[in-house]
Amino acid sequence: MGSKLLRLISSFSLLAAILIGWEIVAGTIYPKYNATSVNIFPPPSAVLGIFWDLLRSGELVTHTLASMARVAVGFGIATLIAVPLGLSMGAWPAWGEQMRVVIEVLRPIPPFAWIPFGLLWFGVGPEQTVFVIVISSIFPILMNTVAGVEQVEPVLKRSALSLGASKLRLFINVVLPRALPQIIVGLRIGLGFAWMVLVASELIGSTAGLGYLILDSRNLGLPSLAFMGMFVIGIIGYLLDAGMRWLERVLLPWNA
Amino acid sequence: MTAKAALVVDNVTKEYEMARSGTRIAALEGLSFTVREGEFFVVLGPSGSGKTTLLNLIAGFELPTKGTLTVNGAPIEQPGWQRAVVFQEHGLFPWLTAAENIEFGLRMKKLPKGERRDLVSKYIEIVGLKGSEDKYPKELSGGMKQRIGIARALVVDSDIVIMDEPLGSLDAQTRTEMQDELLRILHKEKKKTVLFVTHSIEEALKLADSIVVMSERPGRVKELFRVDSPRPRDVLTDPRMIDLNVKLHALLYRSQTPKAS
Repeated sequence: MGSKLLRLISSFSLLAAILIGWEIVAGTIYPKYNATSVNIFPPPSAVLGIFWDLLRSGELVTHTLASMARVAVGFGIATLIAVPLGLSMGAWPAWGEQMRVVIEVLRPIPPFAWIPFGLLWFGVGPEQTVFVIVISSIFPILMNTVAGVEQVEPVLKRSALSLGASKLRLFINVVLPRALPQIIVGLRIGLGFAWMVLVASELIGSTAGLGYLILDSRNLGLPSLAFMGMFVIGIIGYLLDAGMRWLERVLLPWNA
Repeated sequence: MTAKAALVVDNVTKEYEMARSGTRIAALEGLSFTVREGEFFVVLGPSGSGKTTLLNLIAGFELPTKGTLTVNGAPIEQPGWQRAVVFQEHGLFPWLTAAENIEFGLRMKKLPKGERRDLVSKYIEIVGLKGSEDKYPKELSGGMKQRIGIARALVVDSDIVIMDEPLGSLDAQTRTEMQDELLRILHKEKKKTVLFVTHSIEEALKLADSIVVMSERPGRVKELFRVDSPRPRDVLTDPRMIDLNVKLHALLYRSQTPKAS
């Protein structure tokens, strides 16, 4: 138990070293040559200070929750569209082939390119952010779901049929569980994408959220606020991915 | 023996159309044989003799171009538990434990839970998997996996069990062990009709009541042998086995002319 904790702590040692080095450079060395440097390259202590201020005022929580809610809604909508669509494409190859052509044309378009249309259709606000999140996460979920269904080994299907499975049971009891690991991979990638485009979309058309906070830092001339926003985004993104990995292990003990 | 016919393959031809040229190639041509109820029927043939095609037709995965296949008088039209299959690649469901894999067919048959549990534990006992019920396939050896495959096919109580080179992917020692195991397991399953596909003469000699030797493409019946020596058989020293071994070798590998008799 003790050694496990020690290992966990030691895995953060490089990160700690970087933060300490940064503090020394940005907090003591650099300001000696340039008095205004803290305004363009703030040390971690300044970032931590503003983090603490916003945490106490409740502003940070408000913006974080606003961002997370958008990701949750956008990612949820993308999942509800992409998983059933992907399953249907895998189940009916003729339909899948037609859809594939459409998807292959839409997929290379960067999600950010949809932002003008998002603004046009939904205006400034959470709806356009949700829209861009749906666009960004729908493709990895869809493609991985299709791949998951397609990779079901013929021998598994034949096994099930020769043990008396109906077409419906074949789908529910064999295709779905066999495709699940790949679907979860798609969900993990999709969630990562969603979190990444969130900031870009909030930077452009939003009045709340972590991306908005970063934009606001420029208006306020507070670079430490921008850094803080970036770190919160990074840490939450990391935790989301860790959560998905944990879910994967819990849901798929046979696949570990 | 006045046993009833369990499986009748009558004048079956199976042709495939080549995708590129559009020419038709016959995998099987005018194939006929009868598997009697309760017997261990071995289909022996070189690769490319249409064994897999035959198996797909009997399992109901494919339909013949000409001719009929019937089990207990009913034509085979689609796959179903009445013709359970043991696959060479075992085909176990990796997300189910050993016990759950064996239970799969019973769930498909919608048997009540208590009945399923009793049958599963009975078959776990029969195939010697006690203590490994809750393991996933990836945690088990090749031999253990195939025991599950066999149990899974036996537990649904099919009319006939089709075994497609079930021991083919095992190492030599495990393979020999599993041949004896198969005899032991089937001895407990009174009167189970088995159609066993293999290219191993040794396996045929050890296990078969009847052996049909298939020709190279297009697959036809070259010769049918009835083997009534009691089991376990000493393949190496029993004169009747040696004699049969020589005949099978000649038929299969053409190293000797089969017209000797």
